[in-house]
Amino acid sequence: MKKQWFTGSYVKFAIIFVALIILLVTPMIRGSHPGTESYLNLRLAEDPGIYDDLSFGGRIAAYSWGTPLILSAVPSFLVNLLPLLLGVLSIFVLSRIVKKFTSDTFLHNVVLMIYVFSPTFIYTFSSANNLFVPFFLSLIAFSLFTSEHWGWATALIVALMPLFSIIATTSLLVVLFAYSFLWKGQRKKLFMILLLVGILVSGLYYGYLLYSSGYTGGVSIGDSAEFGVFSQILYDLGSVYGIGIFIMIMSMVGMSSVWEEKYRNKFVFISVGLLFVFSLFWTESLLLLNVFLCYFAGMGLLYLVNRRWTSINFKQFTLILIVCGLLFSGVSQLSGLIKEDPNEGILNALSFMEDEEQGVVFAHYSRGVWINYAGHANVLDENYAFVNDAEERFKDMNALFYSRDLDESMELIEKYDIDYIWIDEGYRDEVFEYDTQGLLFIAEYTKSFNQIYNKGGVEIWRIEKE
Amino acid sequence: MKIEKEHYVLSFIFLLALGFRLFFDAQISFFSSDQAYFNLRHSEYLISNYFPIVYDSLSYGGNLILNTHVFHYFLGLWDLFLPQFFVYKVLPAILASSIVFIVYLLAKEITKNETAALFSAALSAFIPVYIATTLNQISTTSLSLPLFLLLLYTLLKIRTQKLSFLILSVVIILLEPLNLLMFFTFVMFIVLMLAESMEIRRDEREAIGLHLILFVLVNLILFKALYLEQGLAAVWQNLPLELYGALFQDFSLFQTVAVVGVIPLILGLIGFLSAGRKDKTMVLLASVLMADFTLLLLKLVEFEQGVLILAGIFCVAAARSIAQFLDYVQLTKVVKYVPYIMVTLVVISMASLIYPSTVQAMDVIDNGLSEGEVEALLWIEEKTAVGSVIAANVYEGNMIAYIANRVNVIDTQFFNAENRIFEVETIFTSESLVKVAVELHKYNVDYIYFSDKTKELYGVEELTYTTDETCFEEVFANEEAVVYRFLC
Repeated sequence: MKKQWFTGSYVKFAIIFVALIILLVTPMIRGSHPGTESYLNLRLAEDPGIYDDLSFGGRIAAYSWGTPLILSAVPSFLVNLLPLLLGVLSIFVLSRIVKKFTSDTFLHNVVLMIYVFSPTFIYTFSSANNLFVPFFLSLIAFSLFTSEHWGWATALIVALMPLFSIIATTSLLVVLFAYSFLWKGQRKKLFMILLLVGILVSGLYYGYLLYSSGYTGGVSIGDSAEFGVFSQILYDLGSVYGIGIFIMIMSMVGMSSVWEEKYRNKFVFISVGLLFVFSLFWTESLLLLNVFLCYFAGMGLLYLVNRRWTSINFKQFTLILIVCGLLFSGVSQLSGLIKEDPNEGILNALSFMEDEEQGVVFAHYSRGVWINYAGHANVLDENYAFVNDAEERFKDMNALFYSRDLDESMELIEKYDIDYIWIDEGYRDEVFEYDTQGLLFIAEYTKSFNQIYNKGGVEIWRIEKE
Repeated sequence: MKIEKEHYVLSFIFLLALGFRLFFDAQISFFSSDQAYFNLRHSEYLISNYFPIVYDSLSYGGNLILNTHVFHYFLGLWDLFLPQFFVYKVLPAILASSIVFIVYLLAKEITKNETAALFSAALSAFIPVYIATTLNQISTTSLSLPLFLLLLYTLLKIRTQKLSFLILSVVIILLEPLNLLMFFTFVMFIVLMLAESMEIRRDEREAIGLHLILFVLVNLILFKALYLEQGLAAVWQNLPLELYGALFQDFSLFQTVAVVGVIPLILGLIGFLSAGRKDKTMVLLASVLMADFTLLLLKLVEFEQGVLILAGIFCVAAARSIAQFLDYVQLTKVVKYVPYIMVTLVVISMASLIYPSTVQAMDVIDNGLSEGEVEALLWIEEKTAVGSVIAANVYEGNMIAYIANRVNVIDTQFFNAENRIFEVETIFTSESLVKVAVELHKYNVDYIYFSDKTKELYGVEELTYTTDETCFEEVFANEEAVVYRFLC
């Protein structure tokens, strides 16, 4: 039974209103940006340049420059406004795309609603991270590619996208490939042009970065996941912006409901399959995968609403549970973003550091971007791609954390010309097992370590040099 | 409704089982496990405050309690208008004994034979491991096992029992949200039905789907953070590794036979082996068995819990063996001796179950909490300052919190607690006063409660460092427990 109240023209605007509220929750409650990417993009936008003096103590600025360049027009204003704006616009674009695939208004609205409450959407458009522009461009590109007259404009977007994200570009090309080769054959020629443009621009951009910084090899300094594959894909099992578990469940119901017509829907099934495999290696592919799964989840929900149930109790209870499950992942994402670091203690410590004499700050690599934002150089941070000595620095970071040998520690401090030590409770418990371990002991009992800050769970020592 | 002969027999079996439990329950005025005092304390708290204890200031000196409190609300509700003895002694015994009715219903559903169903019900009344885990212990299991079997029954009768299935699903999942058994059972049921090319009816699909979705949602809401931190190990409830081996032990055939009972095991196995491949009821029971075995082998279910489910299922499946035996006998000349044969079979079966059950019951009563220990704990409550911290072994923490009404160093609420098992072990096993003093200072311990149970757990006879009179004063002693005051 289709609900007429969910097919009116006002529903779309209601969805946009809900999306606006959702996207405003994080910045309104936090009053600051969650995570690290916004801080990096803001810093780069305020001071664009080929060389970055602060990251890794100085390096070639081999970043994805697209987002910082867009923000650079009015950095502090756009960093707040642009994610919100593009988030809302993405709903309009998705609406256009969905309408091309279905004329069912109810399904259209359900898909948009699921999309708005998906953890992926909330994460992507809640802050000025590295994902929101390339994802929005991907949606625009797909919409143009499938339009009658504006297909050529896709080339312009594909030419720009490598500046934002090579993975997003590749994911988009995979979807366009499936679309043109498995569904609309007349788009094959255009796809080949896009592929050439994509390869050319990517080659030029990343070729230049490689040429400037040299090949760094495979560097990995991240943490291992608890659930392996699942934690890579599913938000509820640990992925930062993965698919909500109930979107996944409902999309399976949706897929099984149209499985009999799988050859007619080759394009979507193959796209989902390819994006799923891509997501196992590159999580950015989850953004496009989420769009497809939201569509299938909508179909799944519609199937459950329309099927003949043996019990009205079962039907109502199951649908309520599913809706709760769909909402839960979104609410959980919002809650996670609100609680995410940097917390107030870290932000206050960063403000304090802004007034201190510029120097090199040693901290866990996850704090590096914030330290740069406060105007200080770090020993290492999470943007280790294209950095020649990242692995060595990572080993040295651990050596400095765990060594109680003052000579060894001072040698490392001199090696990186470290002026400050930053320890906050966010990583203290993860790195250290007891209060007098390694660096904690040295910082506490060495004369040349002068504690200059100890508030809100953050301790900062200045190293007095002879 | 006309009351038939088998209803009298069934009632008699129920009363026998209940009488057996109450006989042992009445031997002592207190309860026989530490967990009983956790449930008792939370249930009593609910009566006066209506809301559960979320932050428990007595557990670990402050601990977030992660529990749905369904069982506590249930007991608390009865406690509002019934005497305590009835609520915490009689009611759990009634719940545990009610398994006979549910096993009867399930067995009758399988065999359509009342004699066989009554035989199964009788077997289920005296499952040794069930007695050991639920007698005089205010145990959640006394409610969860009957409900689990009842849920299976409502699934089999889903055409007429939809609402019951729905309500039972909600209750069971909220009662034990981390129990993976039902989830795995349904998954296994779907796999087996598909493998046997049997049709899962539309209403069954809906019911199973609903249960699985509810399970996922409840677990996400309650334990998402825990799953993210610990992965599937969250089902071990942050249990310290040192205790893991005792609870999630390796599957042992001999031990299983001993606690399940020989007769249910043999007859149950025969019942499964003789079942037709296309028998949906037996496929469902086989799904439970396979899910249970899988969880036992993966150590995702406590050994006693896993074996208890096996026992319950074997009791139900035994009905099929008896029914087939009776059918066969009808074809032979010994048909006239059927009543005698049945009586002999019942006597042998009951004897083989009642004896180990009695041994288990006596063990629970004799080796559970003793009068001497209660006396020591009550002394602590009367003579020590409110807010004093008492060091006791991990299985006495909830007793410290309830009977002594004092802060413990450790108890079995491991979810959000720090792992102190090693430090507590040091307190009770180390001979070094310095080492022990460090740990006692670390947790601001005021008194050490040293019971016979602790001696047994750690294999020590005395705390040698307590001879130092400047640091320790023996403030209470009886034959079963000593209380030392820490003075340093």
